[in-house]
Amino acid sequence: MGCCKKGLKYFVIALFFVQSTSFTDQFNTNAKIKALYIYNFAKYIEWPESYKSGDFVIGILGNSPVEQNLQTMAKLKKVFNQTIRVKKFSSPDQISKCHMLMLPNASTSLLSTCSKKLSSYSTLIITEKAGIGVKSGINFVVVDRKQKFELNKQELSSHKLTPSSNLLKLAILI
Amino acid sequence: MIKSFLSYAFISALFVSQTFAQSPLIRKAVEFYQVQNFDSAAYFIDQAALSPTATNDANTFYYKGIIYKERFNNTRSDQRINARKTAIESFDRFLELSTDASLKQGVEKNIIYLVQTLYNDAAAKLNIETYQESLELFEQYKEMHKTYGLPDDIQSIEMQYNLVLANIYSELYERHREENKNNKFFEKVVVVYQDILKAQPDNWSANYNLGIHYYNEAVNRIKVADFDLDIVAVGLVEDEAVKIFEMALPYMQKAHDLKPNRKEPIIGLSGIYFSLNELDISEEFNKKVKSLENQ
Repeated sequence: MGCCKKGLKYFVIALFFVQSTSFTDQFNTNAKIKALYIYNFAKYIEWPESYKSGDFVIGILGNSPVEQNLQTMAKLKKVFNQTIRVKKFSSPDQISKCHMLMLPNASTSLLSTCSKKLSSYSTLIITEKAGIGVKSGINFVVVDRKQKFELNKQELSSHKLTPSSNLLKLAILI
Repeated sequence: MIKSFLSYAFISALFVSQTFAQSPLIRKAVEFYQVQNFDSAAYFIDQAALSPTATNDANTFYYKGIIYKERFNNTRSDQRINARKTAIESFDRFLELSTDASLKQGVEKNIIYLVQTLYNDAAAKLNIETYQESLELFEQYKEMHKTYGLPDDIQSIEMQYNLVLANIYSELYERHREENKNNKFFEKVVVVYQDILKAQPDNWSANYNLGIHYYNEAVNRIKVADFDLDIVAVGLVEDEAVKIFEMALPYMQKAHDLKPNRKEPIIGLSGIYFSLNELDISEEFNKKVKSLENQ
């Protein structure tokens, strides 16, 4: 019987670790998924010739957890031959020519201002708020707990942007 | 020490009373046993046991069991495991052959002691480096526990063992998580926790840890997703991850229900709902965490 007590002692020591299984670092999965989609938008949309040289600029208005993922992407990848540059704008005044402009949820109220400012550019405006898809180019929405995207064909064409058929197949068309 | 001394004294007395009737080989074995040279004692008792007359001699197996038990206790080499096995087998044979009730009782205690050392050894080796040896020892322990009807609660012992084992698998899984998408330890962890939960559905640790395990795997699927994935593959990665997040949910919820004031499952639920794009529910759990922190 004394031996059994000795055995249990081992387990007490070992059990100290049992509840130490911990959450993986606070990784924002939603942000990574959006970044993966954004990179695909860059590849599956045809920009006018004048946008096919120089850097491929992705602007973000305000703070977004997607930014960090885009920065990582910019270090690793190119859009065809173009180097990706992620530019953060803190107000619509700062916005300059870019291929894409992401408006995080908190910046949605600035959508009209941004649209006006970018009306003469071939800029894809990306939003992430339910119901706003009619006003932006691509809008991230949640369907069945998954990230999906609405694509506003008219908006894209007014900015001389041509989505590929593959992109159209997967998008919720508006 | 006192117990050990008494044991030697008893065995020596037994030898003295019986050796003259034994073969010279047994006598030799006894002499070596008395000077605590157990390797030589083992050699001579093995020789003695080979004799055709020893096959059915209970005393030969009694001495053999005692000698090998001491050899087991006094060596740290690889011989230790074999010594224990031989001791148990010898005692077992003695029980078959002997009619001496009082000696049989002592031998049964020796067997229980040796079986329990299997458990101790399995527990001591239950770590990331030697867990496979531990598994073998623990299987032997379980088998012998059943054979000899040990009084310990095997279900509870197995439960504790499996909790530690799952944690070891979990650590091995974590070590290779990011570089290996088909990590074999993922499934091992699941199997062990599910076994525990089959027997004890309300085991808090198993529920919580399994919830975390699924959560971590789902996060990992997305974390390691390469930017080169085409748009269809991105959707598939997310589909898979969502399925796994949903698998985490009932376990984490159960852990929360079992201990509503424990912060960890609430943080877990907040994380899972966040990744499932249920941001309002996630925020509710976040508030719960903050309110617990302010208490």
